[in-house]
Amino acid sequence: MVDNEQQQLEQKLALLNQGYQQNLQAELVSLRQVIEDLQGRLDPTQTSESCDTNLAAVRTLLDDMNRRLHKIAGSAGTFGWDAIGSRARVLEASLTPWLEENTVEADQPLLDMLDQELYAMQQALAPCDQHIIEAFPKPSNAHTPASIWLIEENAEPDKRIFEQLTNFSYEVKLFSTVAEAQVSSENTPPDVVVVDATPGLESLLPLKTLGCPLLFISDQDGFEDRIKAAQLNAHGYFLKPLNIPQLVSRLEQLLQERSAPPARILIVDDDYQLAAYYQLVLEAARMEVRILDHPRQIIEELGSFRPELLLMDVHMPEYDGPDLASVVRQYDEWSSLPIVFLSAETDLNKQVDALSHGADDFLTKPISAAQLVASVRARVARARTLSALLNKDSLTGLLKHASIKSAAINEIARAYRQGYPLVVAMLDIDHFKNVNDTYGHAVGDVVIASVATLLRQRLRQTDLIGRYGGEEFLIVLSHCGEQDGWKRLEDVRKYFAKLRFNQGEQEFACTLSAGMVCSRDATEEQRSNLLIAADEALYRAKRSGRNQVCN
Amino acid sequence: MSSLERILYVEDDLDIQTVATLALEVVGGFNVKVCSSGEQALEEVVAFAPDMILLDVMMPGMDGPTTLKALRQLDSLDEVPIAFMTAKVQSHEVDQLIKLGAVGVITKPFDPMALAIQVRSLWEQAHG
Repeated sequence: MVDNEQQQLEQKLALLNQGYQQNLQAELVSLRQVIEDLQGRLDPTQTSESCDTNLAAVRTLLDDMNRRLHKIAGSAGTFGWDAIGSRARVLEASLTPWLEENTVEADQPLLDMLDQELYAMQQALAPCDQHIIEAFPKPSNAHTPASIWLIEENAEPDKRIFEQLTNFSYEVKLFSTVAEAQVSSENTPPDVVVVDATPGLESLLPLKTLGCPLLFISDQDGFEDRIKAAQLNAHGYFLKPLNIPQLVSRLEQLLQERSAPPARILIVDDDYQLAAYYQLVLEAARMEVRILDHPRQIIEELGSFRPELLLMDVHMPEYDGPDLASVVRQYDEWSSLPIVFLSAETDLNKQVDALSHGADDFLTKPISAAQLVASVRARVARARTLSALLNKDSLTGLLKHASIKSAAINEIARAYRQGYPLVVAMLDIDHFKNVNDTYGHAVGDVVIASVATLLRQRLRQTDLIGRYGGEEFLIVLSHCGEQDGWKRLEDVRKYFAKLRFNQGEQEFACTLSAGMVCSRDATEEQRSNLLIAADEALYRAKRSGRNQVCN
Repeated sequence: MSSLERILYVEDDLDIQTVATLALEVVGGFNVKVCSSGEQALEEVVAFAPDMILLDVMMPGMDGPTTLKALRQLDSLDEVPIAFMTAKVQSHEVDQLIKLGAVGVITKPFDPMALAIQVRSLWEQAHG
C-alpha cells in the first residue's frame, strides 16, 4: 500500500475510533443500568413478580449482557481499546457459568463485580471524567478510632457502659431508638452496634440492614432468645449485669477483623480467563490476588508474594495439581500453607489423590462468587488464627514470652546501632493473686485480657507488647524519650484503674504498677541490660505502694 | 483458479462492519459486499459470486455456523473458501469451527492494518 493511502486509512480509522468510543460509552452506561435492574430483581422485597417469572427475567438480562460483552470483547481491540476488550472478555467468561448451569443463581458479589468492572471500563475509556470518579465511594480508613453505637430503647441510658467503652478509646454514640440509629447510619455507618435487647427482639429487625456486627445485651438467657438473636445475625450475646471487659474483648476481635490486612491469594490455573474471573471476584471482596500461569515458577512466586492461600486447578496440561501441591509441601516454609483445589464434581478419585498429596480442601466448579469469597475468607481466617496461636499468647493475643524477649533484644540492638532512644517497661497487675483467689481464674483471665486490650489501644502499632509472665507484661516503645514514655504508661495505668470488673453482682477494680527505663538516660550498667533495669524499676514501684509508674 | 478479488462479508455489528470493510477495501484492494445477517447473505451470495466469504460467528437469527451449512448447500459455492471471524478464542472453540468446514478462523479483535493480509493468507492456504 502506498504511504498516501495508509495515511488516509489511518485518518479514517481515527474517525471511526471516535465514533466507536462514543457508542461504547453509551453501551457501558446502558450495561450498568442493566446491573441496576438486576440488583432490584435480586431483592425479593422490591419485585412484585412471582419467583419463577423473576428468575426467567434475570436469566434473560444476563443472556443479553453476555451477548453485549462478547461484542465488546471482539470489537474494542480493533479500535485500539485493548484493555477494555480484555476486561469485557473476562466478564463474558465470568457470566458463562451462570448461563450454562441452571442451578447457579446470580448473586450480589457477581453483580458488584460486574458493576465495578464496567465502571473501570468507563474510566479507561474516559479517564478525565471526574464526575464518575466522585460517584465511587472511597474505602473507609481503618485507623480512625472505632465507632461503636449503643442503642438502648425504652431504657435508662447506661452511663456506665458509655464511660467504660470511652475509656477504651472507642468513639461511642448513644441512641434511644432503632429508627434514630437507622437514619444516622445513612451518613456514617458504625463499626459495631451494641444494643440492649431487654425490651424484646422484635423491634430490632431493622438493625439487620446496617451491615455491621451486632452485639446484644439482655437479661433473658433462654434458648429461644438466643436463637432469635442468632437469626438477627448477632455476633455476641451478653447477659446483664454486663461484664464490660468481656464485651470489649469481643469488640476487639470484631474490629481486628475489620482492620486486618487484605488476604493474599495465589491462583494457579491454566485457564487464564477463569483465573482472571476468580481474581476479579476476590479483589472485589478486598483480597490481594496474583495469578501464576507458569507453574514452574511456583516456589519463586510463593517467596515473593507470600500468599496466605493457594487456589489451584486440579487439571493442568503440563503439571498436575496434586503433583504441584506435593512440590510445595516439600518446602518446610510452605508445609502449612492452605492449598485449595478447584475441580469438577466428577473427579472423586482425583480429589482423594490430591488430598493425600497435601491439599486441604476442594471447591467444586462451577462455584458462585459468594461461595468462592466465603470459602476463601473462612480458610484464610482459620490459617491466620493458627499462625497466631503459634506465636501469640492465646489469652491476650500478645507475643509470648520467648517471642517478645527476642523481639525486644533485637529492637534494643537496633536502637543502639541507629542512635534513637527507646523505652523498655515492665508492667504487673497489683495483687493479682487476690483476684484469682477471690473471683476465680476465669475472672482473672478477663482482667489480664483487659490489660492487653488497653495496651494495644493506648500504645502505637509500632510498639512491641508481650505477655512476659502470668500477669506481667513487657513493652518496648521505640523512638521514645523518658518523659513521653512515662506519660503513656501513666495513661495506661490511669485508665486501667477506672475499669470495673464483675463477678456476678460483685463489682471490683484493679490497679497496675510499671517500671521503665529509657535507653538515653540509662547508666552504663543499665544500658547493658535494659530488661533487668526495667524490672528493677517495677520492683521500686511495687515497694513504694503500687498503682504507679517508676523510672 | 482465479485470484482473490471479491469478498462477501457477513457481520451484524455496524462498527465492526465499517472498520473491516475499510480495511479490506483500502489495504487489501478487495471488492467487498457486506451483509448484516446470514439470511441476507444467502439471498445475495449467488449474484455477487464471491471468491471468499467471511462469517461472523455470533449473530442474531442465523448464526455463523448455520449460515455456513446453508451456504454449503448451494452448488455454485462448492469451491469458495469460508472463514469465520470470532471473539471466541479458546482452542476447542476454534477447532469446532474448523471442523464445520471453514478454512480458518480470524480472531477478534483484529488489527485493521493486518486484516487483509490475514484474509489473503487463508485464501492462499485454501488454494494451496
